[in-house]
Amino acid sequence: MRSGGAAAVPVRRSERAEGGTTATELDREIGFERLYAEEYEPMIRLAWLMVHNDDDAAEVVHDSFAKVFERWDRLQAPGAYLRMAVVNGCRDRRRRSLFRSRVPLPRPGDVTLEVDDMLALLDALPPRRRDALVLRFYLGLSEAEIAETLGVRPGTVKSLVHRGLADLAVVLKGSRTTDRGSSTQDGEGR
Amino acid sequence: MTNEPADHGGGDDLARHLSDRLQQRASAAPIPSDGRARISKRVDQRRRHATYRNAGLGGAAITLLAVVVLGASLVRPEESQDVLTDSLSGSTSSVTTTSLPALTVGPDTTPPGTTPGSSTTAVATTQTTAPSVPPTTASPPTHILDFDAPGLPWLVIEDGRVLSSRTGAAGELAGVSAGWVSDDWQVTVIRRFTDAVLMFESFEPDDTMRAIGGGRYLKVTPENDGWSVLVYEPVTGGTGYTTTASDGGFHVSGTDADLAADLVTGVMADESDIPATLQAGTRTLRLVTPASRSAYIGEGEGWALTYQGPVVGSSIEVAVERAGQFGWRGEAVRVLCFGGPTNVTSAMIGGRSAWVTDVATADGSPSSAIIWEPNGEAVVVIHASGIDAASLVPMVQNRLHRVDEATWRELVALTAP
Repeated sequence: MRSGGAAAVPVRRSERAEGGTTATELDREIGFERLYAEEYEPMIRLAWLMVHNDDDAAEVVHDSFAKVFERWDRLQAPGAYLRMAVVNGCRDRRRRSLFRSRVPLPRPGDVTLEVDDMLALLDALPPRRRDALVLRFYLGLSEAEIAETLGVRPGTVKSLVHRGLADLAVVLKGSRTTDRGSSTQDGEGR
Repeated sequence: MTNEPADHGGGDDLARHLSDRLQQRASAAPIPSDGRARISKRVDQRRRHATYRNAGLGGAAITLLAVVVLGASLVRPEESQDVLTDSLSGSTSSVTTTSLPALTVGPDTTPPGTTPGSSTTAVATTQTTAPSVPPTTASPPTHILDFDAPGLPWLVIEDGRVLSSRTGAAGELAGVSAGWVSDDWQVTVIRRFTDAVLMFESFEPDDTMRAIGGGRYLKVTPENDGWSVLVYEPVTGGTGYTTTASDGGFHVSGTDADLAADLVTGVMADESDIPATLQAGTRTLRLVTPASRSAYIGEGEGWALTYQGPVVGSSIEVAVERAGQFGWRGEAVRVLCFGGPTNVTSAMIGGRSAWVTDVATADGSPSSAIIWEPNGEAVVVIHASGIDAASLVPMVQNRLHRVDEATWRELVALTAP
């Protein structure tokens, strides 16, 4: 599931392949094709998780691939760059539409859990905590990888993940307390 | 790495449940079947755009970057202040260009044909990892100044000398502040106080405070048409909390308490060895270095104008740099031009005195700047790439009168010492 940096294809700058295409261009296209095959769907799913919108997710991912293609020769880890581009693109999209309308995290006991409440609660988290949790628990990235993707220190990632989980736990616990007997105690009962 | 989450303090069950939910949700995501075609189209579009820009077809691409820098060492004659006052009060008859203080122009420190990245001393103090890239591969700025848009979009950043509302001292607060521009161009300025008052208090964090990690909390209270945001952290070995000089406090103009806390959180969380970054839409504002007098604004994937004072009595040094999507670290960083302006003249633009200058560029392409001095200690810069000053001035003159007065007043108010 995770997109841990696809290896860059070796580049030979002075050779020219048949048909006027340089070896560099050929290598880039082969490498890019490989990256596309491996990462297109995972990135669409990641973007979709982050922006909850089909069109926006596709736009972000397509733009991100285009950026990777443009920079291919300079990228050490195209997969990691792609991931960062997708995350940043999603964050930008979200900011444009949701920054001022973000729903605050419910207080403990204020919620009754529905089928997708876990994800609804996730959406209510501060953006960086939410992003950290998605990268950690969807893509399964390490703290170092998340730090690179979000552009923060590993220690910050640890804090973001810890506090994000703690926020969820508090709300879920409050729900269990006020919703005794409900089949939704674990957030997935319905 | 595996997909099995570690226990981060929230419990393995919760983490596993969250992971399951995310996987389940993600599996429902629709996968566009035309991905290859759409990516190819985007790549082609970018290539065409690059070709267009490099060829200079269809007129110059103009960037608009407005920078407000408050410098403690900047001094401005009273008559220049009068220009502003008169202008704001609706009187323009007394405005003359002769009220501008003389500007001594420093030499161009970037010889033509050289790569400036290795010798940009002033920039290097804050951009320690910026590699130099041959200017022949450079693209022009990406922020298009739309002269038909309603109002000029100001981006604001300041470096400040402000009055301490807590100590009452007219302090030399060498804090760096940042601006934030919402998508509707509302300008919010975040001003950092580095003379934070030490306050030892015993308290229990409550719902009104925001935890920001590391045992620290933000306390947001209304202050001066904005918000005071104080940072509290536990006193080592004690039971109280203190605001610290390292983190200081913040004043955030306008906006609401929640967004004010968001912005300050963003500033603090990203603050390490790289500048803090705030983003709004496609715009990014960065703090360069705490306690530095430098200021920076730019775009996440665009270009930036860095201004480093002082202005009056010395030279103007500007650098146009490319900000990579992931900050200044990495291959995307380059320095386009660096050096003092090649000439500076004064002019009346928008009813206000301004300096106009052509900015030296390493590759010889035209680049210019119009600089206003709203209140004697601030500088507002419009930088235009791809056009010389002689061409830029009439464009801005024709446009600037349409800047709404409220925007200008806000700008001036924000920069008031």
